[in-house]
Amino acid sequence: MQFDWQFFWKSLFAPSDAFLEGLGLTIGISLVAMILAILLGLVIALMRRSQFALVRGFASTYIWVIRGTPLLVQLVIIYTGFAAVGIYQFNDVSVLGWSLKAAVQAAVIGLMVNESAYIAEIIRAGLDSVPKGQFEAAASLGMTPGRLMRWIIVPQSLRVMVPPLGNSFNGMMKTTSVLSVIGVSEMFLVTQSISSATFHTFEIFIVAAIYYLALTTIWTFIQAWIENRLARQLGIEQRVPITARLLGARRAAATATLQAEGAR
Amino acid sequence: MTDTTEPIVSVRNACCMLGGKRVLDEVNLDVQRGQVVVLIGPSGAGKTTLLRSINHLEELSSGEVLVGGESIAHGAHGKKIGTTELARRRREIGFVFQHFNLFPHMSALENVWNAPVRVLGQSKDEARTNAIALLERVGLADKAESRPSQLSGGQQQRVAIARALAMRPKVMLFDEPTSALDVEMVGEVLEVMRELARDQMTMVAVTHEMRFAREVADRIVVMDAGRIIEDAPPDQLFTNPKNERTKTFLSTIH
Repeated sequence: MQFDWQFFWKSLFAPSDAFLEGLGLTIGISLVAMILAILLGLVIALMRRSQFALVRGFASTYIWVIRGTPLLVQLVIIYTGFAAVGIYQFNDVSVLGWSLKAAVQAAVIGLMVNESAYIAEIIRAGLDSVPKGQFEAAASLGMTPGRLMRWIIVPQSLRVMVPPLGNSFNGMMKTTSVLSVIGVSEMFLVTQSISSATFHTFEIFIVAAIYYLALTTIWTFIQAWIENRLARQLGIEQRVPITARLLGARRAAATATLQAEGAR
Repeated sequence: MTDTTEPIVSVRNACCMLGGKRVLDEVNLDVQRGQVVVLIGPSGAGKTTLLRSINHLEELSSGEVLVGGESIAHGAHGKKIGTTELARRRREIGFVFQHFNLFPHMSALENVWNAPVRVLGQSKDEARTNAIALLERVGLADKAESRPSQLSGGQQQRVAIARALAMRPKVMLFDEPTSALDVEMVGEVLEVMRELARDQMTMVAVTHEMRFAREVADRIVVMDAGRIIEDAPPDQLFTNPKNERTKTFLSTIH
């Protein structure tokens, strides 16, 4: 085996500017797409609870279509397909001194649309997890549907929604690698071009893997912090050891939830 | 009655279908200001449905409920009111649930001050001061900072009563408020309800606590199969019930 250690260490600890830019783009696109996806997902989830059948039908169809088709297909339709038939052509724009490439815009839109369908279901499950009596109690106190959601239902459903939302974000950071298909120079595409320029395919992809792992690991810590904070606010004692989170044993969390239910 | 003042709650020809079953069948009920009315009857008689229809937690298929002379479900031209207007009309009706339904993510105190701030727009200071006074009134001033999960069932129900009172309702509705409680906690909740009655609060309660009904109620309304079969002061009803089914029902609970 010819493993070029020197190349490996250099790529890992002193990566090229292009690689760092790719890393930055991966983080940036994930963050923006996730925030937009949560907002769109919330709208879709609320539409599913609408009193109008037409609105409910639209939301259900949206979820059905988006979840039933691959992200890759959606991306190509949005970026290349739309332009080809003249629906919409993405162009490079400059926002506050930042130049936003056409492909990056399409990538954010594509990821947002794709993820929003899953997030709508997460939000629905979260809202459904709040007992009917909570809705009735809030309504009997004269709360309008908006206030009832804001002060009573959403704070309680966050406990159920935050863990899967965090996992979604974790998945999204890795999914950005498919954006290379529409030419977004995120970490995967940069890695690929370094690979073909240097022929150090194994070394450079191991480096990329380490960076992806670092991203998701850091996020796991942040997510643990958010969940514990939330549990404290809701008066629930919930401690999941970080090793259990990283290595996949979530039984401790399930027990904590059950105890919390039992205490009510 | 010779009293010419309008009843505070007036249920007129109420019919309610639930799952293809007629749960309320042409029910008429007037409650005067300051009256305590206790609804009794076998399970499935429609007591809870009637109570819930008074603040529109249950929708009538026909008929009307007026609270303070105003329909709970319809506007001036018989059109259904929107959610915002329904919310406004519900403010004046306090509801106490069998299973308390306290907000688990708030302290006892916040449970009480929350709605006055979010709904009535009271300042937090004002609402908190009122909330502390209300918790004192139900004997729970020392539990203000406790979470519902840290309270016993009886304590939770007393907080729930304080929460409803914080909206300064014109009428209080109680849906089997002691049925989910351990026996030793029933008394403390009934005591709070007794005091409310003493303070001239208008109350409609579904309960199986016959001693409470006998002592506190102005009228006992007996329901069976979706209808009101008897409506009389407790002395008369318990000693000399007129309806055969009332007699049968009373004999099963004594």
